[in-house]
Amino acid sequence: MAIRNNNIANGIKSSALLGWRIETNWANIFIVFLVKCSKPFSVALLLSAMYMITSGPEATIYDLSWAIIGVCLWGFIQSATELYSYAIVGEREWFRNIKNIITAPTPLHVYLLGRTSLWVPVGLLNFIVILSISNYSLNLGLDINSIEKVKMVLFLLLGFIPVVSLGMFVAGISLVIPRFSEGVAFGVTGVLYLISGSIIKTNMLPTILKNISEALPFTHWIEIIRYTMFPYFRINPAPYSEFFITSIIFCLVTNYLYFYLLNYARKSGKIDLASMY
Amino acid sequence: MILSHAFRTIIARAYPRIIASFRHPSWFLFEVSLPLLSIVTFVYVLRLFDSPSQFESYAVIGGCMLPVWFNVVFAMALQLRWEKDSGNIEIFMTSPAQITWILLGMMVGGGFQTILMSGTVLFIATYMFEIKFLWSNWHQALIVFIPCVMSLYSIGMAMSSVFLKAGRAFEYYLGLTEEPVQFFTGSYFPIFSQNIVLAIFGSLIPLTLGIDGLRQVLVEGEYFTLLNWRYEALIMVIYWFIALKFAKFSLEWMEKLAREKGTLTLRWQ
Amino acid sequence: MLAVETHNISRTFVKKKKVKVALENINLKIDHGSFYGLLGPNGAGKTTLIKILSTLLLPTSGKAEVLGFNIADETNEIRWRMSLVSGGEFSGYGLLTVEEQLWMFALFNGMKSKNAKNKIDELLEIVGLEESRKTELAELSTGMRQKMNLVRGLMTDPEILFLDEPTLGLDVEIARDVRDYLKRWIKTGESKRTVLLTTHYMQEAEELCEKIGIINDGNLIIEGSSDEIKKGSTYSSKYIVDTASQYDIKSEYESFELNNISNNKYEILILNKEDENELYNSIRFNKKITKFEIVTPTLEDAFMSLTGRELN
Repeated sequence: MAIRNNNIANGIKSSALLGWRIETNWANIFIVFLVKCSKPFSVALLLSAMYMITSGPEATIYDLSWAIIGVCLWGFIQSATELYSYAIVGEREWFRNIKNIITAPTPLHVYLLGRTSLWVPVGLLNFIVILSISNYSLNLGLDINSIEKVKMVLFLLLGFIPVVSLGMFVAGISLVIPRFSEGVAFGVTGVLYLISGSIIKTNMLPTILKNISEALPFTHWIEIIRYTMFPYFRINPAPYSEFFITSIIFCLVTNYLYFYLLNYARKSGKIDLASMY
Repeated sequence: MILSHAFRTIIARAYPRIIASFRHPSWFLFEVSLPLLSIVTFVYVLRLFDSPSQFESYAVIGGCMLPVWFNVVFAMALQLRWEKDSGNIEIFMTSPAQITWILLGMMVGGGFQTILMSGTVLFIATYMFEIKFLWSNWHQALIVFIPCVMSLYSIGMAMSSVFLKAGRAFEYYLGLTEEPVQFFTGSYFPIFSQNIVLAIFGSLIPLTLGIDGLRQVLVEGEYFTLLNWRYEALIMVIYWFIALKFAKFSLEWMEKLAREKGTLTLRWQ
Repeated sequence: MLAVETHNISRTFVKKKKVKVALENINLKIDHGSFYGLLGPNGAGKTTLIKILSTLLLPTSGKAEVLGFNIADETNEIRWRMSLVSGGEFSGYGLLTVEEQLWMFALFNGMKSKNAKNKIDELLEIVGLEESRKTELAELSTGMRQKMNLVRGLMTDPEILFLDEPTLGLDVEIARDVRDYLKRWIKTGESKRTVLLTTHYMQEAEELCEKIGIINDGNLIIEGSSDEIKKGSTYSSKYIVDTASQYDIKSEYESFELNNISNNKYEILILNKEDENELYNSIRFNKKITKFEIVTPTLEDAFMSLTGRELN
């Protein structure tokens, strides 16, 4: 048992170091973070341009603020799903190392936890940079003094738990889909972009999508963070209980699916099946 | 004899891509659903910003064309990287076939998939948002669409040689261009109506002209633009040939450089 | 005519100011129609040399010609006439079947579709892959994959075939099949065929190659037939002897080089040929020696003598 515990701690540490090296060894650290943070930042810029060019008389700056907070938080989700998916795809298709990882005593989910840990600093950097620059250049109306800081930090961190579970689920899908596992991250992120209330209000969606959105922890997570940051959004109570309930259910379901998919991949021989054309 | 060898090489290399469409039909689901998701997202963003309804038509057209850029450019540029990692590039280089022909084959095979995908996305998005396009102008749309796709593929071919030199870092830099391309090509809003400098800059990418041309011929109502779609199609044809020429030259130069430095056959470089 | 001729070929690799000399002043002459083996340990420079000759790499200095064509300027002429097959190759596309894969590469090499299909039928039958022709590459075992790679190399009936460790990772039976086929292949055909094989398996080199070159640390140390190279060994032959227990063999044969292999088992090296008869008579009539065996030097022994290291 002592060996197992040691493996988990060592596993996370060495996989985190490995993940860091793989993600950062191609350029200097500044360029790496620039590239990693560029997507949400660019989306925020694009939204801002769209707002300025296409908005009608009913639109207000708070619509843009609303969307930009969603983009910032979506940055965590995007970064995590990408890293989890690419960890599997990379080990299977490019490094051809996946069988060594699977057969190591450290469980795969422990390895992935460390290997993909870069999503946290990347997401945080996105969050801070995008909000700061947007607030300064577009006058979003964000006031540091009015932020409920303790709640914001607490719920930001609590939100990481369903994000990690989502990452595991994406990794599981990546294990069983040949060739298009790279698209899984984009697919998942895209769907969440649409239905998690990040840049689209859930009441604008068709009923079925609205119901799915309400069942996701991310929808409530993003709402809570908006609530803590902008007094303007404190008209309705923050959805704390919805967040906790949906998070628990979501984490249970996605983790179960991850193990099921891993088992399926083993049985069907897909684990080290490299297939590109 | 050279022409027949070129033709055979193109057919042979297009074959895996075409056959994959039928053997792994799951690609279709991904390649259609992801662009569709983007279109749906941005249409709702336009609604969030209370935008006029014709912007939704513009967004649908832009959303159908954007994946062409990403598929073509990324797939063409990155395919050679995968070929290198799997050892195929050694076999290509030691065969008497020119690497340009092999990339042309990828272009033909990929083009088949791209046209199928874009058409499907357009059809579904049109139905979803009840957009009325001027389908009677389908022949004009083809005159714009085909040179756009071909010129993009040629750019992808030229970029693949940059990959041979640049290696893995290039993949990341390419990723940086995604949103700027969305902006400068006016994928989700008309760029030409905003600023002439931006418009000219955006026109350096054939996709901008392609999207603008398609909006002119397919969308009802008034549409402000700087250039008639016929001229845009002509410019894209010129881009196509220039890019092909450049691709051939740069591929040969890169191969020579790679043979001198040894990076061609070293994996993970 | 020479299939390969090199003049002071050198190749260095520079990465982040670190210089690695992979090849240094290699002078090689391989007759057309011969089976030449390049032997050497890992990192010796065998693959680098093959890559230069197969036009994948340019030398840093020196000249080389393959079938009379310059590797730097007449690249395409060489590519029309050569094939390269590497061991441990994972080339190809996982979703294509064996015959589709071979057809595709045949077309890259300028073959017509119909001719390619006929050749595929012929070669798959010969190498025993007929039943796997419709199998997707992703489902092939390593051995079958390597057989397929070999077929790919032979499809165009090349004048010169470069084989870079073709039996690497293959099981004994498949490796033997590959070697048997290569022995037949080089002898048949309308025009002359040359094979340049790199390997670090001694037995493979001895079995297949008329001439062998030993390369180490980027230098070509020696060339010649297997027997000629074995003469480079420090000993001309050796005896493996089993002795009675508690027999002090060292005191009786102290003038010879003696190594203890295991309990009561020794090897006695004969460094000078003149000593052979004397030793033979001594061992033959020595009642304390229960069993003996004469062993002539192997290529590996010669290699160790020449380079001071094992072939691993």
